[in-house]
Amino acid sequence: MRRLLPIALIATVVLPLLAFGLFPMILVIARAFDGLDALSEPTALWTTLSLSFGVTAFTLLVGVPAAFALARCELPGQRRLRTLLTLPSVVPPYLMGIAWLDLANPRNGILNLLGQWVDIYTQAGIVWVLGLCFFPLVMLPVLATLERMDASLEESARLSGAKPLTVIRDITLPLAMPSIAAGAVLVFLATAATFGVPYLLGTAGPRRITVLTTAIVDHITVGGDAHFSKAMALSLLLLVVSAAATLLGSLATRGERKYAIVSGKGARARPLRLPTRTRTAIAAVLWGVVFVSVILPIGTLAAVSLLRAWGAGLGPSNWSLDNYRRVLFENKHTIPALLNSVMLASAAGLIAVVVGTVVAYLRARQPSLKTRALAMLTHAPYAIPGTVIALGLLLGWSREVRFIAFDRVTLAIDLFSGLGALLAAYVIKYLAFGVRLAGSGLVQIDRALEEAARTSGASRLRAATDVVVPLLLPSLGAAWLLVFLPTLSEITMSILLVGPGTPVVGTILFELQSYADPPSAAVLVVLLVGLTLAGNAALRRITAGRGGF
Amino acid sequence: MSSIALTKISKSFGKTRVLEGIDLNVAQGEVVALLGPSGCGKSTLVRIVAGLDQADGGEVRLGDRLVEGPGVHVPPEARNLGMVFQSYAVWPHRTVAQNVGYPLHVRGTSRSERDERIRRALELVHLDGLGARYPHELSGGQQQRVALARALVGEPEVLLLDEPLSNLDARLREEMRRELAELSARLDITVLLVTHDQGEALAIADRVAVMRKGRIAQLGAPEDTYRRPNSLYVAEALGPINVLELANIEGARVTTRAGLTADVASDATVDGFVLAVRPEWLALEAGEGAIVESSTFLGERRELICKAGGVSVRVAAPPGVSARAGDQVKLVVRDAILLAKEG
Repeated sequence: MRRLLPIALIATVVLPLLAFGLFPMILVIARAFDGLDALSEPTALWTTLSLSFGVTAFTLLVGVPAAFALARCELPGQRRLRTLLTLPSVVPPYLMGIAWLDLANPRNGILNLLGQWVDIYTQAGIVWVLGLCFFPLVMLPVLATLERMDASLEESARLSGAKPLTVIRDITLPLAMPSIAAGAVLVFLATAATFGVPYLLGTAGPRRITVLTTAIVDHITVGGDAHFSKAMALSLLLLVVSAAATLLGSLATRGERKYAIVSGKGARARPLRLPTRTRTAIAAVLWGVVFVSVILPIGTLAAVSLLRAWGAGLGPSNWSLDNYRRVLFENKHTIPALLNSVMLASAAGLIAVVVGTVVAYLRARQPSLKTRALAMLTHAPYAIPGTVIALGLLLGWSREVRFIAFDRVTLAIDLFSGLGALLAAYVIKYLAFGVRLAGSGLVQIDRALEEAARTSGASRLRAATDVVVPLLLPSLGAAWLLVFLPTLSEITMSILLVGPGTPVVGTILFELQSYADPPSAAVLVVLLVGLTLAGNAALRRITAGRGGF
Repeated sequence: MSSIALTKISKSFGKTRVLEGIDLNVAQGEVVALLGPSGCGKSTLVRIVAGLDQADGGEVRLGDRLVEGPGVHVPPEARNLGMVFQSYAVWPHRTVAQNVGYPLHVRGTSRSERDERIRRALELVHLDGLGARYPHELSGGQQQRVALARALVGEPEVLLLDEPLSNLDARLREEMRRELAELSARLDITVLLVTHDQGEALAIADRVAVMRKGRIAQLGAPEDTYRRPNSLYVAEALGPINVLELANIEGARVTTRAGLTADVASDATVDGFVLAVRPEWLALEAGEGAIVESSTFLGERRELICKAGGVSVRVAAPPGVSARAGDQVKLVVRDAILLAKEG
């Protein structure tokens, strides 16, 4: 047993991680040096940077005040506002992008029916859509910090003679700085790595705005050795950008211990005493944010999915379920794609949870350099853009591309005709969720509970299955859903890795949107949004409100 | 420095009545301790004095100034108070000097004067030279001193202490307790102290207010309240006490069911009263009537549990007493008090 366990572990966890995670990255970096001439045209890089900074600024401007208002202003309808304000980050940005395309494309967008006054095919349009999707990434950590902050930190400033606004400036904001920085980095990374929205509104739009991720995919689509190398070079560039942002973020949050703001007593901060009128006004502004970021786009999609004919008005006379029938039953790819995606997402979630639990357990119970490296290996890919992960897998393991590393092993993946590669990509990308949730669940389980099982005569494995796993189940359920939900409608990696004859939701959606069939795309989006929101509700239930949004 | 005058302070949280008409005057330069178990309302009372909570009714005056009353609520920053919190509330993003100097900084005190007063405040709490450190580089006891220096630096009218010592270990607590008592006497400062530790209250305070369910059960000098509690509740709040059922009263002589007798002049009745005897009010003599059940050496004293007439009695004896478990002894009541039974 003692000998078998490490071997089994190496075979099922360590080797696959190395083969599908680390090895492809090394290949990408090695191959990148053949295509360095792609870097002579730096527009894509500048666009990526300017979009990322733009979206980060947008999310800070919305997210920080929103967090503060929710934490300290005692707003009417606070709980509902809070739930609704976190929803935008649950719905994949590409779906929101489709909604905004229907709303604000310059030719026949709904907002432009009364005169052409907004154009979504711009950098500002991309910042707008991504900003509305990503602001919860700033709001949530800041909110958590503000709520955990010991009340007496602010109260003692009041007693020192500071007025409420001075307290916010001198005490509250500086103490929230690490979480503000962490949120900002998260948004920057997400924007730099995103493919769907910049493609939809930029590269596929009239101005052909190109960012690194779309340039990479374009090179791959064109095909050929030279372009493949260029894609690798751009991937390396994207990796460098992501690594730089991560580094900056860890510098900004370095003094975490210095900023330990949770005391044992944990009295919650008292809300600001504001006049009712002010509170109502603030709540109204936040409802405005909810309307623009959730209700308007999702409502639009729901309406568009019902339209009999695009451009024949939005009223009920033009409504029908025809689109649903057409997309679900007449398009013979939709149902298989949904099945494939549900299957893949379930499997990816399951693998991520099992591997994540094992890694988190080893990390928590046997801290050593080896287990730390293992945990790193599972965490790192989350910060790697999906395009780069997919390219690495293509490069290392696909037969279509001629730079196959191990032809025989590749055969095994080919047997799944593309689904295998997708599964590997999904698991690698989202494994971090499994490890993190299982890890935080483990930390909450007092070690003595497990030790009591051991002293009662249970083996290590037995103690783990009898005591630890049952206590861990809610966290594991949450982890599974957290992997399942984004995987279900994943686009970037799907487009690059899907094989012929094996459609998944992401590729079908991409096709429908590309064929300029907004109502059909909207049908699929409505189904996905529904599934996502249901999953999210389940997540909240499982974790009693601690997970999900 | 100024006095604190509380008149008929009441406060409810939802349907729970936390304070029911508290009257309390703290004279200028006096130290008053609010003592009671958690939930008795003592923290709420001090937060109302600070202006952190608003009273539902009643008045708070600091000196001549009305700071809380019908239609009046002076915000905490305008009350000129110093407060030390249980969690210290030392700001982690500011150095020790920046923490301590904050009240002066907010008031716009000049740089040179500020530096001088920070230096003096740090000296006062024995943290000289640590101004440039960050809080996480300090021990818990040192952080506590930073909080105290910050509370004192602005020369507040009143110092509020909310369980200031409860996060310290026993030795540090002893040390800080002495220092607080010494400091408050030396600075002649008006202090309202909240604590659930009777030792802390007795050691630091000029007067102790024992609180119970939103009311002050007894207010008096530490020795008086300890020696002459007006109820069993107060007696137990201030330290261990034996509660003995009565068997007989003959004039001033009271006999308990445990067989102990005491001379306590009173108009008490056998059924409605008990005899309350603190462990150190009992003495051991050679003789009979009680059996030593356990004998624990505690350094400065010896604690014995004796069985007398089927009742366990706690005795604090000098450490040199050689009684052992199983020995026959006689218990002599040197002091006692008759208190009404509580329903």
